[in-house]
Parts: sequence; structure tokens; C-alpha cells
Amino acid sequence: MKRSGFTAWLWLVIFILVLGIGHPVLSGQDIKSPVQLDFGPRLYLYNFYGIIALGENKVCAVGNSGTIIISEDGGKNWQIQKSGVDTELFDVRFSDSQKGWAVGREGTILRTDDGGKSWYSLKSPLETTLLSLSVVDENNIWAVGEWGTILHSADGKTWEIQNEKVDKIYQKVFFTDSMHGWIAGEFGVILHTEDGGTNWKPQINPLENVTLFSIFFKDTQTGWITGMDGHILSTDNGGAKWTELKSPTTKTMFDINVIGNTGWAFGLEGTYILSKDGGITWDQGRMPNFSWLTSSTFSKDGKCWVAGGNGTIWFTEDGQNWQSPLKLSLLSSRK
Amino acid sequence: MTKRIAEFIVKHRLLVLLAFIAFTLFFAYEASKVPFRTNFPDLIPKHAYTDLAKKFEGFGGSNRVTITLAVKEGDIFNTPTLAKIIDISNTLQFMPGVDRNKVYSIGVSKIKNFKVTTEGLEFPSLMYPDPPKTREEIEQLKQNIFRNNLYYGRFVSIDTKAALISGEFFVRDLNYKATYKALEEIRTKNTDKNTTVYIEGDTYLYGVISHYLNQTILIFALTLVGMIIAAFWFTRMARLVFVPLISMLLCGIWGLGGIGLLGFNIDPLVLVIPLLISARALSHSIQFGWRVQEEYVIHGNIKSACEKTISSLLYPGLAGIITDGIGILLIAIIPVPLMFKIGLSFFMWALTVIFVVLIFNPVIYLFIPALAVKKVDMWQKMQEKRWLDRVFSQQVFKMGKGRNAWAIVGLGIALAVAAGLISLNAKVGDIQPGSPLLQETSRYNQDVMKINSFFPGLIDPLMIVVDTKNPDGISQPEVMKAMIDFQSYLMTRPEVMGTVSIVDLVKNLNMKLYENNPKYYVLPNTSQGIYSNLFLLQGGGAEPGDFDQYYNDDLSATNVVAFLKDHTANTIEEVLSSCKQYLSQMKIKGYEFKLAMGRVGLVAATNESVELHQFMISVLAFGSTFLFCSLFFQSWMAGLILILPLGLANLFTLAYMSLASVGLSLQTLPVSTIAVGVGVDYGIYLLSRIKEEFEILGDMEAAIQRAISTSGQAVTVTGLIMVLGVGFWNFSTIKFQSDMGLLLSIVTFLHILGTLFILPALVRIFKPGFILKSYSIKGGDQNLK
Repeated sequence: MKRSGFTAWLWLVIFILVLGIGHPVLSGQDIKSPVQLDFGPRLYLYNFYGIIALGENKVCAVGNSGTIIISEDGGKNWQIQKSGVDTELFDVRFSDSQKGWAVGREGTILRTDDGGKSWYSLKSPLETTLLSLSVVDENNIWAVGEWGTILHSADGKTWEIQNEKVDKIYQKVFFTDSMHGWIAGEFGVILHTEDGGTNWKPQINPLENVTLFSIFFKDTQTGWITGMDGHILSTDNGGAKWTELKSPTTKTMFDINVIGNTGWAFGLEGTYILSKDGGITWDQGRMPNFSWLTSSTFSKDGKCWVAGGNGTIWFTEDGQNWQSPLKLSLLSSRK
Repeated sequence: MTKRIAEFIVKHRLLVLLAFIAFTLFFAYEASKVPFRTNFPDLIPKHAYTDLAKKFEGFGGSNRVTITLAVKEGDIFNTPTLAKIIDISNTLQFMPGVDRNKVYSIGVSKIKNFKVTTEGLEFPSLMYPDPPKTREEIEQLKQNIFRNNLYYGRFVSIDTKAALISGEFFVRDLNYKATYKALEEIRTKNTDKNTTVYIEGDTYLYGVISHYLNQTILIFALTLVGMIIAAFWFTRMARLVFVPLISMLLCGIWGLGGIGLLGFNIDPLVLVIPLLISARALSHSIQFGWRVQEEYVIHGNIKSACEKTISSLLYPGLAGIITDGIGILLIAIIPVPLMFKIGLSFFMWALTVIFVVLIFNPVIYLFIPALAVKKVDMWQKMQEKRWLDRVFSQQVFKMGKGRNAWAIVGLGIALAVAAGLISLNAKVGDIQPGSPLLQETSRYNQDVMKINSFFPGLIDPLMIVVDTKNPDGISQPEVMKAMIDFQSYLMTRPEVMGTVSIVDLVKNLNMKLYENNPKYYVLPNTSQGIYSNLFLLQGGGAEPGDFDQYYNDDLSATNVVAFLKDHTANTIEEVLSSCKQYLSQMKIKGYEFKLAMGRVGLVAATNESVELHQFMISVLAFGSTFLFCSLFFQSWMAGLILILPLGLANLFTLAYMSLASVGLSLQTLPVSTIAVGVGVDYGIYLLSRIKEEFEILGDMEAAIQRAISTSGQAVTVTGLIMVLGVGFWNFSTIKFQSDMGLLLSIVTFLHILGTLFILPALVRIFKPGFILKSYSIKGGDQNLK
């Protein structure tokens, strides 16, 4: 009697085991986590207007809706910092590794004292949009924007207005030192100061009314300007005379830099042009996609970083191959 | 009472037979009218979200097909590829069922380029009707696309290797098969060595499923064959296979006929339910016929055999079938038309089993020439000698004796707790991206992944309506600012891949007005600025309907669309709760943000409807089964004993679904609910037999042994017959069916175990009065063991 009971239990156990092994769920095959679609970092949701490299592996970028992001590992990982504002930020510059400023719409001026971890708003004398920032050091800062706004700070905290209101947008400001600075803007306006902004004088633009977007000076004499439809101007006497250079592109360029013998300029539709002879001749380069690019920066380890729309942040070490830190493999150029 | 019914049926058997034939012919005719297809409007629940979708129908977004054309080498910017895009767009526009005003791609006339000229704004089509042919034209096209981020990244992928074409269907009766064919034609026409076409969308999905309808029917046919072979092996008597087979077919005809009368269709996805009912019909019929043979041996003539069988099995049979039916009918509570149809149709189908098994079966046995009693007697003895019989009458019975009863109950409780904990993870809705109806490796689901890699989130839009209730209300800066803030918030959610609204259109226009300076991709500061932008948009040669997806006729309402990474239950839960939280904290004056439209809105509404009612259905199903069983046995104890194994099976079902990543959905919920309800039949038969045997034998153990070896054996084998038949479903391409097959086999197997072990254990422990009483009532001192 007892034995037949035991046999029955044995059969039951065997049956269940057979069922169990045969059944995917019970044998553990299906107990995996559900399939996840991996879209990677979602930086493509943001538009970045300003970027600055701080030290070897640290990069800071600012963009729409008050976004400030920082990477401390060469771009592999990014942290969103609290800016305290929700309006567009158009430029970011630092005077050293700790102190930095960002400007944007509605007269926003932000400052950080801890390398970008925390930011606070400075009192701005105006509510007009500020588009560009130039930081020589913490006691010499200028910001320009709509309605001919030029702001100057001598202490990194308070600001004075250096201009009269005029219906022109000043797109970019650049100071080589505490005295010498230039502004490029709408309707082809070029302004120059030699006394730290107390006086601003217009310079002659051979292109007349063509809007200018970017200006850069290597020293107080040698400089470049880019503008709409691919125009490039250069000067070697501080802007007393500007001459047009031959440009390989007809797309608007928003940013230009010449470091040593290499010149870099970026603009609309992913346009990238470079110069190998210190900014005299320029050639067409290639970017991995067609998003607009508005800002570039150079890190101490020789990388050029560029930022733009659709979450674009690229870097290159040789000016040819651009890597997105978002994916670690080298992106092939368009065929 | 039952005796008189039995006698009546036997006496008037000719009349009954003729009536049967007449009804069958009538139902057959009605059955021929029933279409086998999915009906999309049936899937739309009654919910605040769907009401919203109706109100703002113009915004669209709930029934879309998305086609992606992708190249391997190079990019799409060459004349042949661009021509394909235009061609696909045209074909889609003229496809039956497609709203031609809601086809979007770079190749439709509606998608325009914004040109700022000295005269104002111009809107030439981006690329219509012909593709660009010269290098300059192609460069111009590229420029127009790259400068507009409503196009670059949305209709052309960022890496320029893929283009998106989407179309919306009118939400009404669609011919899924024809649509599938037409879409597949697009695919084959435009595929070449360098070009691939990916297709996604609910309408297309249902087309894929109806494409496999033939395979589904084949599998079902195999299931029936499998069940018949098993029935042969078990009964070893021809008539015990043929009569049940005919019964099953009759139930089918009557059931379909009923559906035809109601004017409903049958959705191919829910074919598992009538199969379940047919299997039950087979099972009941086998039980009935078996009992007739048993009684035949005892009484010697068929008439008495039939009468006795009817009187014994009428009530248990009725009880079993009606509880099945109630379980099915309760599905109709869910406010989705499909559920109502399923509930009503299959409730009626289930009830046909009453007529066919309890009335038709005995009549048939009366008409076919009876076998010689000796033969049947021999058959019975041979059945008893079979190892099968010994397993039941000896081993199964012994396993539950004495202290084992407590062990079994203890084990049952432990399993219930374990299953209960696991089942807490069971989710309503989809668990994986793509469609749960098809395999992960199916082309459809692979396409979904591919499309998402080119265009993250575009196939799963969640639309939030912004209603100002005043004409032109949307141009107010507060409204636009609120929308921007909301879009910024949405972007911080990990489930959101992108957002779009009319604000982006206005920003785009603004940027163009400032010489394409990206820093001017912002909203104008003043209300006037915004209004004049909108005015420019409308006035500059825009055609009626160009901006329908953004705002309604009087500009009183607009929307924000969030593109989600998928429409799984988790994603939807997270996003909706974040939205609700954010919206509740918004200071609103004069405008309202309303959830939710678009594909995700529809899925969310469906999930909520199911979730809300699922618990109530379970409670009602258990409650009504409990009441019914108690009523039938006239004892609360009986109800309890029958309900407990049922509860265990229910928890196991949910636990299994949780482990196997199968979500509770409109398709899976009816099956899981019905599978659970069907199990009480086994218990009713067994318990009823125990009571009967006890009446005669007066000894509990003997009664249980007899009951197990007769009813126990019968229900087990008929249950296993179904498990076997359902095993064929594993081969279905449609994952849903193989999932359900597995679900059914596990649940049925559990029902069997519960009936064979837990139920007798409970009887042994509780020693219920209703059984003990019956012995003394019948004065059974004469039959002491």
C-alpha cells in the first residue's frame, strides 16, 4: 500500500519536472528583462548655442530652455546642471577653471564660482536678449545683444551699459585684452574700441549691409569676420581695412577661430571650413551630419569641440575625423 | 424534477430530434453570414481620452501607418530614391481607407518650404510633384530640409539615410487584408539591393494577422484532429468519439449562428475562445456518453440508461456550463465594444452546450442501435483493467489519504502565496516594445526597432490638447509660453524622445525672419509678434488643411505631441503620471491642457479600461461561481471547496503571465478569465459524484475512490485532451496564439491537479455536512462497507 502511494508521488514529480524543463518559462529562458530600446543619451533633444572647454577633459555647453550641461570625462558622460532659468542661453565663457558666466534671452546673466556645478543669476541692467560674451579675465567682461546692447563688467558681478539703444542686433563681441575689442552685427555693422569700451567707433565693411555673425582676433591687428552666405573678411591692421577672402561655401558661418596655423569656421547646415595657412585660404571640410553649428572651443589637449542643433557636440583631434562622444566609435564621414 | 425532464426527453425523442435538425439548419444559414475579421472601431474603449479624440478629430494620430525607406550606401538625396518617396506617398494617399489629407512625407504637396521674400512669406511644396533632377535642385532641397528641424530629423533621418512617410486611416470598417496587400506591394516595388522598406502601424498589424488566418485555421483543424485521436485512445469506443465530435460541431454551428443573428463579426485573434468552448463541449459530451454506457450495463436498456444519466448529470452539467457562461459574459462589463461582442457572442455559444449535450446527446444514443450489453460490459471491465484506471482508482486516491490531505492543502497555500507575490507584477498593457501579438523576431517587430533607430519615438505619439475655448486663443503668449515650458519638462523625461507643437512652427518661422540665425529659433516676445507669425503662416499660400494637425478651425485649440520610446505599460504609466503631476501644478488661467490623444492616448485609454474592470470581473466571477455552486449543492461549504482551487488557478495564471512577460490586454484578458472559470466544471463533476457515491456507500474514502476513478478519470483525460490539442498552437507564427496555448495548457493542468488532489483533501478535512447528510437522508444503513 505504502509503496504504491510512493510510486504515484514519484510519477507526479517526474511529470512536473518534464513539463518544467520543456516549458521555457519554468526553465528560466523567458525570465529575462523585457527588451529595451536603447536610444543612447538624449542630447539630440537639445540645441546647443555655446560651448567652452575647461582643462583637459572638462567641457561645458549651454543651450535652449536654460540648459547647461557639463562633462568631466571628455564627453562620455554629461550632467545637466541647474541653471535656475528656463530661457535660452547663448554663450558661456570662463575666466579660469572655477569662475564662469553665461548669457541669454531676457537679459539673463548667470555666474558660477565652482566650475559650473552651481549657477546663480546676476542682476542685469536690461531685459534685452544677450547673444555673445567675451571674458578677458574676471574684471573685464563684455556682453552684447539686441537693440545695440553692450554691457561691461569690471568686477564680474555688476554691469554697466556702454552704448545707446539702436535698432541693430550685435551678434558677437570679441576682446583680445582689456582694451581692444570688436563687435560684429546686423546690417554689416563692425565696431571697434581701444579703450575698453568707453568709446566705440564703426569700421568699414566692404560687404555693406550683409549681416555679420562672428569675429575673432589673434592679436590686436590680425582678425577675421564671417557673415551671411559664406562671406569671410580678414584684416591685418586691427580692422582699419577689412578685405574679403575667397570662401569655399555659400552657407552662413556663425563661428570662426584661428589658432596657430589652423583656421576653423562653422555654420548653417553642418558647414565646416578650415584653413591650413593661418586663415588666408579656406577649404571645405565635412561634418557627420547637417545640423547647424554655432560655437566651437579648443581644449588644452588639442581637441576642437563644436556645438550646434539636434544635440550636436563633436570633437576632433585632426580636423578631419569628427567623433561624437555620445557614441564611442569613429563616425564615418558622409560618402 | 430532473427525473421528469429526463422522462420527457426520452419520450418525445423524435420530436426533439426534428426540432434539433430544424434549428441547426437555421443556425447554419445565419452562421454563413459571419465575417472573420478585426474591426478597429470595436477596439476603442469608452473613456475620457477617446471622447477627447473624437472632439478634436482633426488632430489625428491614433490610427497611423508609418513607412520608412532606408538606403544602405549613400543617402536618400538622389533622384531615383526621392522619386520613390513621392511615389510611395502618392500610393498611400490613394489607398482605400486612408485619409489623403493626412499623408505626410517630404514628397507630399502639403509639406511646404517656408520662404521669406521681400513680399512676405511663400509656401512652395518641398518636393512635389516631381523630384529634383539637377545637382542644384538637389542641393536646394537639402538646404530647405536641413534648415527646418520640423523636417530634418522627422521626415529625413539625421544621418540622411532614411525617409519617413506616414498616413492615417479613417477609423471605420477597413479591409485589413486588402490594406496589407497594398502595403506589401509598396514594399516589394521599392526594395532593391540598396534600399529597404520598413512598415509599422496597427492597421498593418491586423493585416499581417489576417494574412496568417489560413495558418490559424489549419492549426485549429489540427487541434481538433489531435483531440479526436486522443478521445479515441481514451474511450476506445467509436460512439464515444463520434457523438461528442458531432456535438462539438453542432455547438459550433449554433454558436456561430447566434453570432450571425446578432450581426457581429469574429475577430481572428479571439478564435481561442470558441475553441475552448468546443473543447468543453467535447468533454461534457464524452462524460455524458460514458455515463450512459455505465448505466446501460447496470440497467440493461438504453432508455433507462439515458433517463438515469440525464437526471444525474443535468444539474452538475447545467451548473458547469452556466458558470462557464457567466465567466464569459462578465467580460462584457469592460467598456470596449470588442469585449461586449465577445462576452455576448461566446456566452450564447457556451449555452448551446446545454442543449446539445443534455438534450441532443441522449436523443442520439436512443436512436443509434445500441451495442449488446455484454459488449459494453466487457468494454467497461477492460477500461477498468487499464493502467489508466488503476492510476486513478488506486494511486491518485491513495496519494490524498490521511495526513497527506493536510500536506496537500498546506502545499496549496504555500503555492498560492508564492504565485500571489509574483502576480503582483502582472501588468495591464504591453510589456515589450513592438506588438505582443507577434514574435520578437517577426519582421513586423524588427521593422519597429529599425524605424525607431532612424526616427526615435515618432511611431508612438502622445498628444496633449491645449484648449483655450476662445477663437484665436492660442496666439496668446501665456498659452505659447505654457506650451514651451511643458515641452521643456517633457524633454527631461527619459521616455520622451522628442516633442512638437505649433510653437516649433512659429519658432522656425521666426528663425527664418532673422536670416536663419539659430539663436532666433525662439518665440517672439509679444503677443503681436506671435500673432503676426501665425497670420503669415496662414496667409502665405497655405492650403486648407495644411495645419490641421496643429490647430483647429477657429484657432481655439492646439496640441503638444510627445514622441515616446514605446507604448509599453511602464512607459505609459511613467509619462502619464509625470504629466498629470506637472499639469496639476500649473497655474492655469483661461486655457486647459487635456490628456490624451494619439496612438499612446488610445493605448492608455484601453489599458485603463481593462485595469479598472479586471479586478471587478474577477470578483464578480468568483462571487457568482461561489453563489451558484453553493446554490446548486445547497451548501456554503460546497461553494467554498469549489472556489479555493479556482482561486489558486487564477493566481497561477497571473503569475505565469507576469513571468512570461505577457501583459493583460483586450486579447489576453478574455482568455485568462475564461480559462479560470472553466476549471470549476471539473470540481463540480467530482464533488457531485462524491456525494452520489456517498449516498450509496456511506463511507467517505470509498466514495472518494469511486468518484476519482470515474469522474476524476473522465475530467482529467478530457482536460488532457485539450492540453494536447492546444499544444499545436505552439507552432503558430502569431505569438499571441502560442502564448495563449501555453497559458491554457498550464491553467488546465492546474485545474486537473486541483480537482484531483486539493478538492478531495478539502473534503477529507472539512467533512462537509451536505455530503454526510445525504447518506442518513437516504437511510443508507443497508449499505455499510
